[in-house]
Amino acid sequence: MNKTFVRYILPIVLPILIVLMWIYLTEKEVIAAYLIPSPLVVIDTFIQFLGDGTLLDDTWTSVSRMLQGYSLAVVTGLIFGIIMGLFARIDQFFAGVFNAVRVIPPLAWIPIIILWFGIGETSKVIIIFKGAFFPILLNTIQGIEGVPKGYLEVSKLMGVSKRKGLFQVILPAALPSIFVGLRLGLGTAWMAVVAAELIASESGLGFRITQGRELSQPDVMVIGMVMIGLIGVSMDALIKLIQKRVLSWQPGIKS
Amino acid sequence: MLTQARVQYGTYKPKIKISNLSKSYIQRHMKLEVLNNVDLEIQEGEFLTIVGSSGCGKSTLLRIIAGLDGSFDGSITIDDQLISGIGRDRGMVFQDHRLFPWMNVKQNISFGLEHLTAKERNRIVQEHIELVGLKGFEKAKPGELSGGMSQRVAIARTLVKKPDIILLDEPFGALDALTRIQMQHEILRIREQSNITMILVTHDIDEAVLLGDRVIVMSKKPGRIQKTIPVYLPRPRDRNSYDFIKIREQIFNLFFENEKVKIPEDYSI
Ligand SMILES: Nc1ncnc2c1ncn2[C@@H]1O[C@H](COP(=O)(O)OP(=O)(O)OP(=O)(O)O)[C@@H](O)[C@H]1O
Ligand SMILES: [Mg+2]
Repeated sequence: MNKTFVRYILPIVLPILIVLMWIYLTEKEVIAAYLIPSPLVVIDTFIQFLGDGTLLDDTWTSVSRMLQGYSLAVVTGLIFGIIMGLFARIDQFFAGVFNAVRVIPPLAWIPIIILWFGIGETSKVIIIFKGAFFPILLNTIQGIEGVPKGYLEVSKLMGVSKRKGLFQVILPAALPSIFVGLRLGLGTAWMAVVAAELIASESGLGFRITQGRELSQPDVMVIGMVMIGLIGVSMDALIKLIQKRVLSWQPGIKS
Repeated sequence: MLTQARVQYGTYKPKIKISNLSKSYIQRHMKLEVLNNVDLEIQEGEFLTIVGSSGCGKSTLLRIIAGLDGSFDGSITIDDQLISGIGRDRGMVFQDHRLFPWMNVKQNISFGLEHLTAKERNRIVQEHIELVGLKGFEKAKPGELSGGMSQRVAIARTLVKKPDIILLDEPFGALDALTRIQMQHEILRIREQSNITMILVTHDIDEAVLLGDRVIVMSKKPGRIQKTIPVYLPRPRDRNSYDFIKIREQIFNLFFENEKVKIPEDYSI
C-alpha cells in the first residue's frame, strides 16, 4: 500500500497540482491569455494538430534527426572511447583537441556549422552529433579505465586472448559507465535537436515553437514544449529499461 | 612424509626454488622494503602453508610467484626454469574470489578454457562443478551465491586449467567457521586426487597446521621467513590430537614473540 503510493501516486501529485493551478490562473484571467493559454485552448489546438498530421510530422522529423545524430555519436563515441580508454598514448594524442571542442557550447558552433554545411539536414545532424558524442566518449573512457585491476589480473592469469579479454571482461565491466554516457548523450542529443531547429528549419518540434512565437500563438509553443518533454522522458525511460535488462547482473540495479 | 623420503634418498629436486628474493615498493617517495632475502624451496606435490601477520608480504610473495609482479630482486625457478611473467603452470585463487558478476557459474569456470572443443569443455566444466559440489548452480550468477560458493567457483575456475601449482591467498578468509572447515576438507580432497603443488596463505594457524606439509611463519618489516615448521602428522589430521595442538602452540608462540605481546597465562585450547 505504502509502496504503491510512493511508486505511482507520489510522482504524479505535483504535475496534477501544476495543471490545476494552470487552469485556475488562466480561467480566472489572472494571467493574460497571450502569455499563457488556457489548457482548454491548448487541448483544442492539440486535437487539431493531431487531426491534420502536423503533430506527427513534427515529432517524426525531430526524432529521426535525433536518431541520425545520436547513432553516429554512439558508434564514434564508443570506438574512440574504447580505444582511448585502452591506450594511454592515443588518449594523450586526442585529449587536448577533444577537450577544446567539447567546452565550446553547441550554440557557439551553430553559426560556423551553418556557414560550412548550410542550413540543411547535415548541419542539424552535426549539431546533434556534437551534443551526444562527448558524454558517450568521456563515460566510455572512464568506464574502461576504471575496470577493476583484479579482473584484468584474472584474465591475464587465465591466459585468454586479447579479444576475449576485451569482449568478455573489459567491456562488460565498463558497461555500467558506458550506459551512463549513452543516457546522458541521449538527453543532450534531444536538447541539441531543438536548438538546431530553433535556428534554421521548416519542420520539427523546435521549428513549431519558433513559429508559435512568430505568430503569437502561445498554445502552439506550449504543445511543442510538452511534446519535447514527453518524448525526452519516454526515451530516457526506454534506455533505462534496456540498461536494466543488459546490466541485470549488477547487484544494485533491481531496486 | 613423501617429501621427507625424497629428501633423504637424494631424489630431491624442488618444483619451485626461490633464492634471495627481495622486493620493495615506493610509497610516498619512500622505499618500503616488503620482502627481504626470502629463500624457499617447494617440492612437487607439496602443500605449503604460510602464516604471518598482516602486511608482512604474503600476498606480495604469492603475486611474484604467480608472475603478476615482475619487479623484484633475486630469482625464482620452476622446474629449473627462471620464471618470467605468468604461465599456464600456475593458477591463483584470490581472497576476494574475483568472479565476473556478468557470467554465470558455468561461464566463470570455463573462462580460461579456450582451445578446446565445446564438448570437451563442457565435460571438464561439469566435472569440476561436481568436484566443488555446485551441481544445480550452473546458471547462477555470482550475485546469487554465498561467499563459500563463490570461493568454490573461483577454485574450480583455477583447477580446470590443470595447473601444476596453485597459489591460494587467504581463500577462506571471509568465510564463517563452519563453511571454512568444510572448504578445508574440500581442498584436501581435491589435492588427494592430483599431484598439484599448493601454496596457501592464511591468517588461521589452525588451518595452516591442518593443511600444510610444512608451515612457513613470516615476520614483518621487512618480510622474512622466520621459521619453517614441518608437520609430520598423518592425514586425515585430528585438530584435537596432542601433536596437532603442540604444533599449533609452537606457531602461536612464534607469533606472540613477533608481536611482543605477552602470552596470556591461561592460554589453552
Ligand atoms: N601495490 C603496492 N604499492 C605499494 N605498496 C604496496 C603495494 N602492495 C602492497 N604494498 C605494501 O606491501 C606490504 C605487504 O603487503 P601484502 O599485501 O603483501 O601483505 P600481506 O602479508 O598479504 O597482508 P594481509 O595479511 O593483510 O593480506 C604492505 O605494507 C603494503 O602496504
Ligand atoms: Mg594479503
